[in-house]
Amino acid sequence: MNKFLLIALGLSGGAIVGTGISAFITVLGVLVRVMDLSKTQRYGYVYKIAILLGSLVSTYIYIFELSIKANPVWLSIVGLFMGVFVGMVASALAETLDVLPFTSTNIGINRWIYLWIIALIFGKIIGSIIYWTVPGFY
Amino acid sequence: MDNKIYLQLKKHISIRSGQTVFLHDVADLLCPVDIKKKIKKLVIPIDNSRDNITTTINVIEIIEIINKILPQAVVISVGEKQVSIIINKEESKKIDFINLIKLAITCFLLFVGSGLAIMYFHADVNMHQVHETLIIAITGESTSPYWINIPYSIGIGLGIALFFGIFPMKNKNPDPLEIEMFKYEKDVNSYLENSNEKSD
Repeated sequence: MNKFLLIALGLSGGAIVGTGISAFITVLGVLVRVMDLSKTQRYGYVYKIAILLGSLVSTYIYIFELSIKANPVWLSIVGLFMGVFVGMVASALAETLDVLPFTSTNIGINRWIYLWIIALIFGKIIGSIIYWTVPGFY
Repeated sequence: MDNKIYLQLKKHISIRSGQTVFLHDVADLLCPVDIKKKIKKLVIPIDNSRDNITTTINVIEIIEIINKILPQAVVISVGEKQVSIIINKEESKKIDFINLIKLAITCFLLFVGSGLAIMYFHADVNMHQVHETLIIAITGESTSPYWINIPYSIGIGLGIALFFGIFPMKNKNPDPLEIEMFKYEKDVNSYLENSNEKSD
């Protein structure tokens, strides 16, 4: 009986987290932006499957501590794509998008706003590299 | 339709400060050519001396102006009920010293702030634990973490550049920042329109 309860708990918890994570990716506009950039709006269902597979595979890796024993180069490739995704999520957060137009209009440098994005990019890259290379952050 | 004037007001126009606004700037007209010649250079009386403000002109005021010249004309309004006139400061093409300082300070602020924010984020979500798990999952042994850390860091920059459409591309759609700027300007304009309506 206790085992049935555990299964029910795990199943419902997983369902909630799954809907949450897909809503998170969709609402932030990352998915829409990727489809827009690659002009692949027609293949929306492929993206759904990709998100499903990605969540499932990473859950199994995390829970069962699996290992595929591949070359470290694969680590770098996965890392690069992880970074691209995190960069997109970070810029899609409402804070960034709301603050930039407001501030640029206030101080009157609308035409130079893309310089800000460049500053943002280098700030993120260097901040992240400092976090990983300088000891003592974690 | 010899004495009928169809008048379609525009939603909003923007002018430079000091510029005179004529009737054909604020509205499209449909009427006989001789009437059109008479009325299209009518001056719309607005206070154009101040910068960066929005004034609104109601269609009633415009009909009044036309009827002063042509008392027998019938004006039929088919467009907006009011037009908002945005008065812009004349923007100089070259960037002056003060703007350069502002730009430098804000760029530095964003540079430091975004770097700090990504560190906060990594510490908050225990990112190093995830990376360690991934290192074991993919290589099966404890390789140097830089194999994943450095490409990941570069990827963050790449992701932001992609999201904001920094890379030049052919026939691209407006990027999220442009859309947000547009929304913001629209909000400001509609606020100004409303506040002008109330004060009238």
